Amino acid sequence: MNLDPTQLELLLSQRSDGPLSADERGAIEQTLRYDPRLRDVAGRYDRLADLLRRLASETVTADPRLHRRIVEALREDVEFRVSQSIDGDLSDEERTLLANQTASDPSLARFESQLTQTAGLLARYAEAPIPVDSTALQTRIITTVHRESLRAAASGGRSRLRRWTAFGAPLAAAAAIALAIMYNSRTATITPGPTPPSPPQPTVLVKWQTPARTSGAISIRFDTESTPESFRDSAQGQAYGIVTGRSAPRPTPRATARGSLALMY
Amino acid sequence: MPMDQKSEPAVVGLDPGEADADCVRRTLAGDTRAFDRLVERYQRRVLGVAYRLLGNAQDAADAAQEVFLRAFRSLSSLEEPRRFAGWLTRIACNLALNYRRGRRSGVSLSVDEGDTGLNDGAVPPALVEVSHDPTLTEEVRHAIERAIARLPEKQRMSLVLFALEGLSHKEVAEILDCGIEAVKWNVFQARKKLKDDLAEYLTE
Repeated sequence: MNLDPTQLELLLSQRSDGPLSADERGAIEQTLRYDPRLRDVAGRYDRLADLLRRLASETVTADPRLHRRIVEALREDVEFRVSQSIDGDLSDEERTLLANQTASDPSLARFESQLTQTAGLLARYAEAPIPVDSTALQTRIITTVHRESLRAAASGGRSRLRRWTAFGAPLAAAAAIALAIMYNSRTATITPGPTPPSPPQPTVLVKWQTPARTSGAISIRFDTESTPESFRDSAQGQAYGIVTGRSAPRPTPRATARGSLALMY
Repeated sequence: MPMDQKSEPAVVGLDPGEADADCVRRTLAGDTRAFDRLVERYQRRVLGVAYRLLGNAQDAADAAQEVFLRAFRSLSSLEEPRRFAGWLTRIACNLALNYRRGRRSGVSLSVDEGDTGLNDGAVPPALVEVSHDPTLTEEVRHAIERAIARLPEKQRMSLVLFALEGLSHKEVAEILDCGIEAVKWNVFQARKKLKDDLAEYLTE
């Protein structure tokens, strides 16, 4: 039997397991008799086979802590189902299974009884009234909320006023000043007004911008002291505002007053 | 009149979520009286949650007021008005827990008496003597309150909302922003701890 080295090693590894035929075993033994290197390899395979046999015969022992954890987890799972049972969360089959487990396990039966009693105590505790006068508390809460609402509204008004003071008022003042200057210097551009008064009065066009999305009033007071005598009695007029915003321009005729004009926007 | 349990009035013709949403929209439009309806509807729940979590009627009344005030102030931030009840309950839970944590370090509720008008004629929170369930003695009641107070936060909240306030697992899960199974598990764990703490009041 001629064997290459790979076939020889394969046969050596199988030698200890006994699956070799009589011819193979005879060839191997004959070769080993004359080859010390192969005898060494065969000896190693024999020791390996022995180790494996001994390892296989050893009994596997579980870690007692792991065992306890598994038992506790399984127990807790059953107890969780007891809690679910109290809440009516189990199916018919689950309830039947739990009933069987409870019937065969006195400690589980005691657990079920005591957990049910605990749930019962909680239900009775939940039914007990809270020692607070509900009517007085409701009045108090509603009063507080209404005050908050009023405060928020007032705060919003102050906020608008602040915006007006910050942006609108300076612009209005500038407009009023421009108007007064133009009126007094009589250098204003005279343009056709809606209804030219008699005697003709100067129509002053003042352009100003107001802050977006705000409302307010621009008060224009004529400086009657510096108004020429001939105009004093006619120091009245009508303010027209052309509001040009995002919407179409619209005229906003407003107050007429002697000595002062007001324009709302 | 002490607080009766489960006294949220039913809204005729509208499901509760839609009725709440209607009140929220009207409030945001400037009708503050619509918010009164929400106070009437949820006062008991808010007070109940605060009382169960704080274990003190005076603190609970203050907390309830603060909860509604905060809800009113931030109503515009409520994205789904139909979910007002859950949103409000979450505010109540958070406020009570914050107060509870702060109480250990001496922090009080941020109820501003100047704002609430308590100094100028508003009705103070009247605490009343109530006759409790005769079968539940003061001793047992206090034992339950102490046991609840000892629970870990999530277990306490789950138990209070589910077992005491009668909310569904789903509602509790939404309020606590967790899964339904987590709520069930926390309720179970809480019950189990209470069972041990209240062992002397239970029969074998």
